Amino acid sequence: MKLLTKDQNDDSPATPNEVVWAAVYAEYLPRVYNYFHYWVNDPMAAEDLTATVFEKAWRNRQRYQANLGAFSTWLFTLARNVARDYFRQPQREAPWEESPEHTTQDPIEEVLARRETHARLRVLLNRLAPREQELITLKYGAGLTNREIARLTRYSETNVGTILHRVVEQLRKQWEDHDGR
Amino acid sequence: MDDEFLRELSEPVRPEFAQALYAHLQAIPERRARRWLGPATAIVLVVMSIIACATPQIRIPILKAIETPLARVVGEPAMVIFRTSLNTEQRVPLEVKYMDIEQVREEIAFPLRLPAWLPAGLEPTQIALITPPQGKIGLLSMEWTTGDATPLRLDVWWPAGGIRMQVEETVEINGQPASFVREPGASGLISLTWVQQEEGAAYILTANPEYISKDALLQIAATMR
Repeated sequence: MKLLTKDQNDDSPATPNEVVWAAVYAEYLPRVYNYFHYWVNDPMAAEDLTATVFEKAWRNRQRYQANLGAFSTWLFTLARNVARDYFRQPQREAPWEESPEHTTQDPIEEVLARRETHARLRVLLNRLAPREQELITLKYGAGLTNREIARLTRYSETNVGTILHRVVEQLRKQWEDHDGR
Repeated sequence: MDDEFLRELSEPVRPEFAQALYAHLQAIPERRARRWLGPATAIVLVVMSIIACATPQIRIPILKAIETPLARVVGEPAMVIFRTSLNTEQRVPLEVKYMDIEQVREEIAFPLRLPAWLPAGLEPTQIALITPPQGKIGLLSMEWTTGDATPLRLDVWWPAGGIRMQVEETVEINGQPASFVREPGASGLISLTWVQQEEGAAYILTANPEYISKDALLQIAATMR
């Protein structure tokens, strides 16, 4: 990721900390962003919330360089707290509501098709219980493993796997039923 | 299991945003660790541990901190400091283990008391346990969830020698004096703290009164035999 490499005019060697954080940023920025994007369906809000999480993480990065194994748990604990604060504000609508997407250079047909797909998916997700919504968000938005989700939510890994399996099956059937019409 | 359709909502991060945020972060000074920070933090944590045993509103964030890498600032390797009596302390390597109740019972050296009755709809989550082998010192934290809220939490600390209970209202739980406290402020969490003298463990039961009333909390505690 180009933005994570050192400035080519900068001859000073990168410190281990810089290297680790560059890697962390590259790996986790899309995951944290999509975690929020799944929740809020508003790219600008998702960017703001992502920036809040990374700013908190960045300010305290020295503390975590020794044990990056637990980094995802820590980072997504921050993200969940930021999400809770966001939805606690009274003007916030419930998640999964329809909202505009980024403007793109894609053909209008593709944009419309994508919007329809997203809207269909969000309707299905909106029917889920909050706990199921969050597990889906952590799994498919943040890209966490069942074990990471279990650590984060304190459900057992088996419980996470069971719930996700059931919910995904249910969603897939609804998704295919719609396609079959 | 075909779940690719669920990834449809994922989208790439705008490069402009990624670059702007990275530049913004670079401009923020890091809170650099200093040589005195480890010992100083350890001292602070000892003091906080005393307070923590007494006041749920402080104790809960500390526990949450212990469960996260935040506690690693204590040193290398990371340690948790337990106050074992009013004048002594013991350091324990920070290792949070998540386990079920049967595993916990095998791990600790005394019979753990758990509620025999709970309001309907509450399910236990995993238990977080911090204790070295032999289980003579440690803490565990357990929560019950409704699925979309976590209205009940049990923390057990042992040994209970260092505890100083904050007394707002004294009640009796299983023949032991217990302190009932309602947290000031918006959260209004309610808690019961008592020491089971037989095993020398402090039990702290914290509830969200929107879900669990004071009477229900007392009822839950009374079934912890």
